[in-house]
Amino acid sequence: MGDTLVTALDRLDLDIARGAFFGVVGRSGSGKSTFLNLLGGLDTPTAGTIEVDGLKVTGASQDSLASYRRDKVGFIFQQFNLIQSQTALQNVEMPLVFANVAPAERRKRAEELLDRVGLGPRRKHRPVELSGGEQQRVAIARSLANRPAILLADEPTGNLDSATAASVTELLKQMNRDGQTIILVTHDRPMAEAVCSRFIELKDGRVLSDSATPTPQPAAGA
Amino acid sequence: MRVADMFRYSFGNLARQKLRSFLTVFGVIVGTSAITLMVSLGIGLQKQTVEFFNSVDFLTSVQVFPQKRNTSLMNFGRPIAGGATMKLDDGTVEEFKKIPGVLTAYPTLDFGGNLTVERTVDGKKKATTGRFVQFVGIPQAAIMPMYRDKTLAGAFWTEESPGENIAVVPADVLHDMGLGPPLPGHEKEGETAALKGDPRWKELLGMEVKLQFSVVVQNGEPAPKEEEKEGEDGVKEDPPEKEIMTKRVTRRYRIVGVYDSADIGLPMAPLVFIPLDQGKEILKLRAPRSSAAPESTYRSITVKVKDASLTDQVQREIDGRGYGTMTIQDVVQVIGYVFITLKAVLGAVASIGLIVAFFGIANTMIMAILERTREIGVMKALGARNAEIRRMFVMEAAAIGGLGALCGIAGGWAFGKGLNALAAWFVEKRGGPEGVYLFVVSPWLAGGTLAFAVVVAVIAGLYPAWRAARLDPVAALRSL
Repeated sequence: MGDTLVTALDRLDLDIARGAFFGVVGRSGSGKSTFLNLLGGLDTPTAGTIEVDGLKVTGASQDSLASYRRDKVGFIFQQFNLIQSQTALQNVEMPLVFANVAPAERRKRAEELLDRVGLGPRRKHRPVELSGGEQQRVAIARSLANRPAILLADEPTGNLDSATAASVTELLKQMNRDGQTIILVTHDRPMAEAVCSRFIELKDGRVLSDSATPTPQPAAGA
Repeated sequence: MRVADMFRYSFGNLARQKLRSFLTVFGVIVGTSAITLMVSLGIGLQKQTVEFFNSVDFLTSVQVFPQKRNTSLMNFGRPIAGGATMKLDDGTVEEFKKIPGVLTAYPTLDFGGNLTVERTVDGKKKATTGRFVQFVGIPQAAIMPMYRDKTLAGAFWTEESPGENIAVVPADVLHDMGLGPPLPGHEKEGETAALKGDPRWKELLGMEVKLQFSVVVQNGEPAPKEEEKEGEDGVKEDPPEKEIMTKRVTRRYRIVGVYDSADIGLPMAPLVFIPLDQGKEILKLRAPRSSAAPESTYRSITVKVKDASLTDQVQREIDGRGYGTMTIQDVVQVIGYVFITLKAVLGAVASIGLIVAFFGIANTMIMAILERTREIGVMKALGARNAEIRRMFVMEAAAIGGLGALCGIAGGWAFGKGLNALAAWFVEKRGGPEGVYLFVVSPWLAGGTLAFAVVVAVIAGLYPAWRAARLDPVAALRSL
């Protein structure tokens, strides 16, 4: 918004392998959230192309982007973003509701996912009745409901204490071990180093370093 | 997204802000109950009117006129100009009697006049104040059960030519003139009402009443119709000098029957019945009123059919012979047009409430979207299409309209029932007929009000829903 055009990301050229636990590290304003929004089909780039799981995301219509988000992407937010009026189970069912999955089937799948994140007994609880860690677990279960090709996690432990953060991180690692491609955005470089199979560092919208290529990239445009 | 899920979310969301939702729904309740109540009044009045006209007595009559009649709302009953003019006389009456299905046919004879009674008070003869009545000359076979079955004393004549002037008079007219007891509900102080079989009615039988009316006479004879006379040279001559004056005629009748006129239900002049032949005698004193049908002895002939199911067939037969016909169905039809207008006006006035509710709904929906901006962002991230978001909010608005309408219709119906009971109690207490009602909620009214409220609510929800659908998901997710 506003009159000034800000280039949030520039000259980003990446290939992320299926099954990777890919990290994006950077300070606030480095462009990492924009990267995630572009990848998740919430935002559209002014130039360039994005392809996920063989599907070209750029240039797609609003409806195609919605379908893409529904079928290919799972989101985990720092703020959890659970719907307060719905129970844990209903929150997990939500993506399946938009995917027109039959009620019995989606209930079964949501229950399985809640069991998997260790919240089976709390499925009837509303977000306000759950701790931060529990809410993030519900959010993780929700992000997996549609069996997405990529799971996009935006500072998933940012609002949690260190012990809870560790358990959530462990849960994500477990998901990755089970074959889930995860793209994690964090300002916490040590965390990225600890959990990610590969990570890049962004600064002012450009790649500062890539763990896959040990030598830092020369500053582009210089 | 499945429709059932959309319902669940929409109604679930209404429950989140209970007071606000209730207040918004209440606005719709007020609007729809007003519509229900007002329009049901129109329906009730129409139903009572139509029911009255549809009573079997009326359904078996076909009114025949010399010219075809207009059945449109604006010119109802008027002769259609330029059409053929048929002759209505005694021969026509006999001709109609031969039509299959016809019970009897007779000239329609009714005259307005003043009814007075001479009483002997303190040895002096004194005439009562006159009362305007309608005299109806009718064959005994054609007297409707609604009059025949209501005789309080005496009876209608059984012979068509009784040899003297006789009349069957309404009880309330006599009571107004100081004769006989009052009908229930019309008692004055110190009087007791009389029902059928009361000896006080019998005392009136044999009494003489006078009918006074004016006739236009010319040179001592009933004024003939205007005729143009042309001289030999084709120049119109001035008509000869005429002496036109009105003459007061008095006829005396002996009361042979008194009938209960309270429950007849039509707001018209009281009817005094006399035998047909005596009606014809009055007609002879008068000039034909219709210059449009100068050859006719009668202005109209009433044809009574044996059964209501034959009315249509007989009407078509007479119509086919070139006469103008009219039945109660034609009247009921035109009454329908009048009531449509009445209901539309009542409904339009009551709709103001729903227009107010419209703004309430729009306001509530805009507030809801502001509060749920982040939630909308989440739903978009989870794969909700813009159309689905839009539909969810439109349905939420529709739910407000539907819920409010259901309560409002029920409320309007219940209130109308209460008023009906009150009206019935009041009318019965005053001696009126039983089962009077004013408000009738028809399935069409209920369905129409529900649909109208839902449509209004949907329109109110369209703009907020459109705003919700076009929210940028990234911005929405960042909002508080």
